[in-house]
Amino acid sequence: MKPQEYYATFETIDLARDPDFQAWVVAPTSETNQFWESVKALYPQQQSTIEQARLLVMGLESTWQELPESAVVESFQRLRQKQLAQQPEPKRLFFRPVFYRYAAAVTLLLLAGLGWWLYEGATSPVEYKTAYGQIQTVTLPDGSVVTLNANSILQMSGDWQTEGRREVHLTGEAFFDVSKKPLGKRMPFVVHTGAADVVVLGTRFNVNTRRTRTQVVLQEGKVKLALQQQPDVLMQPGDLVETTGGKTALRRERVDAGRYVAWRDNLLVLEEERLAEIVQRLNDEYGLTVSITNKNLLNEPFTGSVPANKPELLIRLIAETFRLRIDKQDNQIVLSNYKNE
Amino acid sequence: MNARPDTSNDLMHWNAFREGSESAFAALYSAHYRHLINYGRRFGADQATAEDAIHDVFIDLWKYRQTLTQPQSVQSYLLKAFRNRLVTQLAERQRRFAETDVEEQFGLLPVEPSAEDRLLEDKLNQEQHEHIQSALTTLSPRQQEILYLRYFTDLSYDDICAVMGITYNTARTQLYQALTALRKRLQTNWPVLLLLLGLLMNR
Repeated sequence: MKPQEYYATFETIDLARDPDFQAWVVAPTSETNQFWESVKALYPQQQSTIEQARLLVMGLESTWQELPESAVVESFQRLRQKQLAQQPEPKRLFFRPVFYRYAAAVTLLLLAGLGWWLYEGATSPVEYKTAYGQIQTVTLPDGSVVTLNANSILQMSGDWQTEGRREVHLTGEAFFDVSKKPLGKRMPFVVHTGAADVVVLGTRFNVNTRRTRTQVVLQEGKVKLALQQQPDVLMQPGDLVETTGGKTALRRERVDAGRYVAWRDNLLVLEEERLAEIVQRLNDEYGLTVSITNKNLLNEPFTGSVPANKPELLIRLIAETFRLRIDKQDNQIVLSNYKNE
Repeated sequence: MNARPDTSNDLMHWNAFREGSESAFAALYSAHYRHLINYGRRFGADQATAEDAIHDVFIDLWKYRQTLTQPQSVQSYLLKAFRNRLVTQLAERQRRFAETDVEEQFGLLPVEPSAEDRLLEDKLNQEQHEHIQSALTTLSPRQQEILYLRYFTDLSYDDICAVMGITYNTARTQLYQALTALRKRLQTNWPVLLLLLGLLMNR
């Protein structure tokens, strides 16, 4: 249970929405009675708020009708039956003369469409795109599975498999689980990014191309990094390689690969990550513009994990850790020191 | 407190269902069914009518799953789609009512308690219940609806506005007015008396 101070300035409706408060109103125990009496005693100005919120909970709770799980399951079954019943059964249509006229027209259209599709499909690229805060899993024609992180684009050509190579272009971040080709047919799988090509033979790895760098973390198997101005790099599981594409040196280190792919489990894991990097990630993956007024803090490391769909929770955690104030200005979130400190 | 269904995995289920996962579809249904039925009852719909509207919403969701995008809040999206269906259906059924009239039927009358519950409740509690219930029903239908959504869901004011089709300012003002009106009706004198007593004793 939260401390008494927590409730010092609550408004009626917020108090009524507090789960601990609701539990007390609906099923008071001697312990909770004592707690709320102590809140009233400590903050006399809150007495009428507490009393009103209590009545509000009583009144609103009596309007809620609880349904057993079985009722929900039965209702879903009724939905299923309706869905089945709505599937069309075009039986009688077959024997009417009008059917043949329509059939001829439809066949012509289909043939034209098929021709166009064969012609166009061979050349027009296929693109998968995720919005801010969205993660999407894509199964490619060869059975490889790609999980696209937020704000990322995966492109490939339409004649993907016939060309003899499996090639995709990535902007943003994605995790690849590449399937091995059966029957000994060796078809390299290549991920193109701005700064490097990742050449693969059946493996699991993460590619991040945000900003100007390309970072590859290998979880399992083997990949070769083909770089523009440097010799190729052969990676082992657990290797992290980062390049910006130019002549600048590579960064290469051994890491815990699981940490770099945690986003796939809808978790945002930060380990000793600098605030400056976190601010960039919030911008890359959620489109949030966060600024920290005290520039000295930008190099401070932060460790923690939150559900990936709750970036606001991360911002609150950071604010609380570094004792900062959160202000929203237009589309910006500003974290600044409290005035009196 | 009645345990409210868990809607925290909504986005995960939503995305999986768009990819064609039937189990995610079922999970979404069972996470929201109780919320939707209860919301529908507030408009005076019986369980069968409310369920029909829920079914319409979910049949369309499945049918058009490939063209759906990811909403800000799945719950807000479902409540809104459901509310639109239900209000239209109820208006059609009642013929002479326009849709706005149906919206004006929103009410926070309590669910009839079972005889057993009645016996268990002590007299003081029962009086308080009647007091708050009569106070709630003096609010305007819109005020009751905002109060209901604010209490039973975790929706933001923006989401509540989207569900009800009103502006942010209207929602804030209406809720504020509702709470002020409630406060006036519920004001009992004992807190004031206690305060006075406290002041006297401090002297």
